[in-house]
Amino acid sequence: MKNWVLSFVASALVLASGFSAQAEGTPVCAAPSELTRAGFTLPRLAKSLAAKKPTTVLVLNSSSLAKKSALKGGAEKDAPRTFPSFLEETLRTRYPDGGVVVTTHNEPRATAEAILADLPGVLAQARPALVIWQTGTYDAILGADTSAFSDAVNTGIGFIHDAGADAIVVSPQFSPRTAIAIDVAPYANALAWAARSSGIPFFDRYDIMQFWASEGIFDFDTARPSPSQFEDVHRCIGRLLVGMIVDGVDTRALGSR
Amino acid sequence: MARPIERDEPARPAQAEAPPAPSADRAGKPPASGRDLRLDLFRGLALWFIFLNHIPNNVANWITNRNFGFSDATEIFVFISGYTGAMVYGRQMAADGMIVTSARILRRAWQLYIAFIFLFVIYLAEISYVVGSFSNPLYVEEMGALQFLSEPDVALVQALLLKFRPANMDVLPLYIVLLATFPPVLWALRRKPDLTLAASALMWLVATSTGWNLPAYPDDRTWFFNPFAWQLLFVFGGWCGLGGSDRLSRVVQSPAVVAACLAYLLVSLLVVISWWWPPLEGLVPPAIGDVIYPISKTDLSPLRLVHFLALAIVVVRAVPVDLPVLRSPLLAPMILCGQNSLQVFCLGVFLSFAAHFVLNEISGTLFMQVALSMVGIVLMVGLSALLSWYGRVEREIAARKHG
Repeated sequence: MKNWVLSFVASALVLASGFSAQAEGTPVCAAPSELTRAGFTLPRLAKSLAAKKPTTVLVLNSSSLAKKSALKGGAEKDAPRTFPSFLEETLRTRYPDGGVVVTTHNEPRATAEAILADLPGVLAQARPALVIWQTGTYDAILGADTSAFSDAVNTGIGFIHDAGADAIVVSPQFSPRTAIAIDVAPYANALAWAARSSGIPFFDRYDIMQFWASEGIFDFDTARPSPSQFEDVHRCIGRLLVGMIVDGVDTRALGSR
Repeated sequence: MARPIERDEPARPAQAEAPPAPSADRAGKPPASGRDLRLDLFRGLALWFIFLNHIPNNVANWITNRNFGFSDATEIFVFISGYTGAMVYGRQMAADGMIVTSARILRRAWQLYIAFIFLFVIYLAEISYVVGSFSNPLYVEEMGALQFLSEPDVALVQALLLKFRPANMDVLPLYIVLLATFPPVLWALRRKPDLTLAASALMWLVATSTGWNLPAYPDDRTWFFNPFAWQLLFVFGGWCGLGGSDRLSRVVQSPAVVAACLAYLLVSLLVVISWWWPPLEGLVPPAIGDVIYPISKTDLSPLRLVHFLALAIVVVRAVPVDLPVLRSPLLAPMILCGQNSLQVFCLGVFLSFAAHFVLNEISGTLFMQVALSMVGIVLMVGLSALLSWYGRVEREIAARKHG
């Protein structure tokens, strides 16, 4: 946690995704390299991409926004784009052959434990090469036991590997306004360890957003956020995730970099 | 400074006549005149740390002990509260009897309960403000979680039942339960100290291995600080406060024990640093990590407990009770805070809410984080100085009337 403090010292800023094509006026999606490198390989995804086969990336999410927009009766135009959509766009640019599809499985208000029940079925249906699993927000809201949370995440990663897919876990987002009531840090820590011990990349959305806040790239605690903030943040998360995926696919063996 | 009573207690004339504290100390005898200032000093320090840790996104909480070892300020606070509680009330139990002392302890628990409800109202005010004034599509899920105000009938009743305990206020319900159940525990500690401690350890063992905990709100939550586990530190503090520490002095003085403690503290330091300092990232091998992680704060994980004990032994050795620096004006502010722990704790919780509000509402710069942290500590010291002055004046008036 709080790698950003060191980042001040190191000021090791990189354009994480390596994509220079930034739209005019949109914030630069920068983050310290220790937050954006994969650290571990993604062999199953690499194999699928190398074979130029259609490749599915599954995003497991617990966002309640998606549910809301779905309730509106498919009012697609009203719903802002979330990071899976940017993820797909950027992945397709990076890997144009074979075709990359990003599908999202969304279970609002679900703890890691609650997701486990459906996970094998979802995996069997989607047959992904990579699963991006964002979890911990609802566990933090409920104050779920961190040991139980850890166990659930480890079990889930096991399911994903059994289904022949790679996994990246994503921590809950940084939310300064609600931090007094919802402390996500223990869950982000538990995720970091679960990822490390399972040998999979960990995308620390919490630390990255905290870094953006401290660098003034985004203002998350203002009462009146800019209308584009939601999409800007999700665009950046999508791009940084692709940076991590590319890193994990290109890294041949652990410790080679 | 020499005062044989716990200043936290409301001034009672009867206490002024109580004999000076028996030498309930872990490393040699305290000076004949006074109480062990180290208790106040480290409780004061724990209160400062708890305040700093409770301000989210505060750079100043980097100095607190949770970043340098498994245990944190909560362990210090609970242990010292048990120690001083047993010392003060144990003496009263001997002088005034079981019934009156129990009544005093329960009155104290009641005060804490009132303080909890008071802080809860302030918390509700801040959360209501956030919910009402802040709308960002990015945080729909988080904000939705704060909608408990849409059912005040449930939320308020659950708070009164100590089941709904917002983050940051968790220590208070734990302390209330520990105090409310303290009379029989203290009675047992005075009669069969070792047996009581063994029973307490057994309860901790059962709680950590079965997850036995009190229920909480909402849904199937449980208490953040499992009282069945954390009571061990409180009872152990009481056991030490009633003379157990004297019996431990041979252990504390043993060079082998101190060396083992230092080694454990060092390992713990490296492991905890590896959590936030990338160069040490791969320090803990997965095989060991799978066994020890996550280190449960809820159930007072053995790693935390042992870390606190090791820290206590090293500190007791490093800071003898008659160390002159304990009486230096430099440490007086911390000691003052430790001597008025209930009020200072509550003020600290309030100030952490206020600091969070200012950091979000006005400015969250590094300078503001440090400035608010320092202002908060100054206010805590100011309050404790005021309370100590007031207590002294009241006692003098009472003494004059009785004299």
